[in-house]
Amino acid sequence: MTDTTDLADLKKRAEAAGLTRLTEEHLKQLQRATQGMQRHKENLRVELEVSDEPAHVFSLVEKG
Amino acid sequence: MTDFAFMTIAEVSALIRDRKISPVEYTEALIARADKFDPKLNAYLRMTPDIAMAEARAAEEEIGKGNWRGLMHGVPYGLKDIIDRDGLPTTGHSKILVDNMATGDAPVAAKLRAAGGVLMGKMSTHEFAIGGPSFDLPWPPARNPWNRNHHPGGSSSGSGSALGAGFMPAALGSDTGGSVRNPASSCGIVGLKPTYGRTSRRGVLPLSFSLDHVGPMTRTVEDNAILLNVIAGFDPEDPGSAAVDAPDFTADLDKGVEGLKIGVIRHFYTRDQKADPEMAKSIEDALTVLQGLGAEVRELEIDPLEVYAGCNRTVLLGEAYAIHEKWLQERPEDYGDKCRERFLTGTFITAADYVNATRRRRILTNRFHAAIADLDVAVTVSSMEPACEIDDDAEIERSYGRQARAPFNLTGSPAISVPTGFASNGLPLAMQIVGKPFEEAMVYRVARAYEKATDWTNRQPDLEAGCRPPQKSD
Repeated sequence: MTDTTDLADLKKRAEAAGLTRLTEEHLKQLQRATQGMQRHKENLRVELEVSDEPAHVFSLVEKG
Repeated sequence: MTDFAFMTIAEVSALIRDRKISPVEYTEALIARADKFDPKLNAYLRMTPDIAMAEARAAEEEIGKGNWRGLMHGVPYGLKDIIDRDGLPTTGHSKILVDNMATGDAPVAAKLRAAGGVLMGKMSTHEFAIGGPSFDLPWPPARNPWNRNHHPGGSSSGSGSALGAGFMPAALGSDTGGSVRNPASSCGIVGLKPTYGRTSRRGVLPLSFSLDHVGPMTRTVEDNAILLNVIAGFDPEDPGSAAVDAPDFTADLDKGVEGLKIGVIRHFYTRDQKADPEMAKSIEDALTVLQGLGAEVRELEIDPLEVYAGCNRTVLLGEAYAIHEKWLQERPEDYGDKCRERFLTGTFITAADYVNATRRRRILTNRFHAAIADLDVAVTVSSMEPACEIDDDAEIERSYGRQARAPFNLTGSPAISVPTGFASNGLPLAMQIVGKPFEEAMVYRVARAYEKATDWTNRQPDLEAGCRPPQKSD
């Protein structure tokens, strides 16, 4: 995982994503937010088989 | 007769239909109540007294001629300010949309208009339905009617606050990670997140396309079913709308719970997270009530809360970032701090992250549906603790993820928050009842049985006592 603690590096990544107007305070928010999201991703520990498909169109209606 | 401010839709509708009260006088009285107390609660983002009085007068005239349209005719309601009403701004409680004018009614708003409802105004919300109570926006945040120094929950904060305060008997909210059920839990009212696709999302500012739900918010279970009857229905122009018939959601309300099977997802609030002891006890007491009424209660074990939370956040923030990417690039400074930080969380979610979250979503959903296949409903906590103080940012952030609502946005299941009592600090407690897809009627049936056996929905806040002098955050 890319280290998100370096604000200068984060700034470069954000700018590459089109976020060129973030202030230093915004970058700190992005830093906290990204760290928080990483924790959420680590919680996604449901193992996937190759054939497990996404919910392409999330619907609870019977099809066919 | 119930204090006018806390009359239910069912009560006031009959009185209006039978011409025992005037919708004009009732609306005037509610407007006066809001004029007096809302400056301390900020439940309204925008009151619409001219529209309200015009619609109340039209209702009175029409009913006087014998043309009663149904249970919402002449009844006041509010719309969360992410829901379009033609000719009014839909701001999302944000500087970014401060001048955004709706050019048509959202279908849910059109249905309320067609039902003869009386629009009281647009209700405060967390910025773009995600931000949190914020003091850096063009309008102040809504406050809790039980104690204005506390958070009313969100993001449908104004709707919850207004109902709890007796400003109206009905309101609409939206729920993407819990935003109807959270204010319902925090304000001591009833809020339903319907099955995904049960209500149209068109004309509603999107937060996350596959997780957004529009839901009814009321003070009683019966009222909630009445309101869902009005707003439910297939919308062919909403890609997520379910082409299923909407039944009369009030039909099974009083069938009781004798013989019903209830699964309690206790691990959500005793192991995965630890609920406040008063909150946990109120749920156990509620289960005891339901058992006393003849229901069978059994333990239900499903995936851990943090797995659902991780999946919900990845899907939600991936979709939300896509929606807000352009504004975040062009004008990030125009968001409030809380909202901006939430949306920035989606910046580095990769395509693989998102796709894999949707793959896991299907697995989690299938597992949940299998787990409740031989049950009628599941019960669990909504919030882990009562609402915190509104200007305690650290506690707001800490408690933001302490909830068990998001799993049912992922699974699309109907889920309702109903009051279960009050904490020692006077703030409401609540539980969540979850059903199978499109079985809102069963959810209502269980909720109603519990409600009738207790009196929590008859309690009312003392707004004179709760409206303390302005605090530093004002």
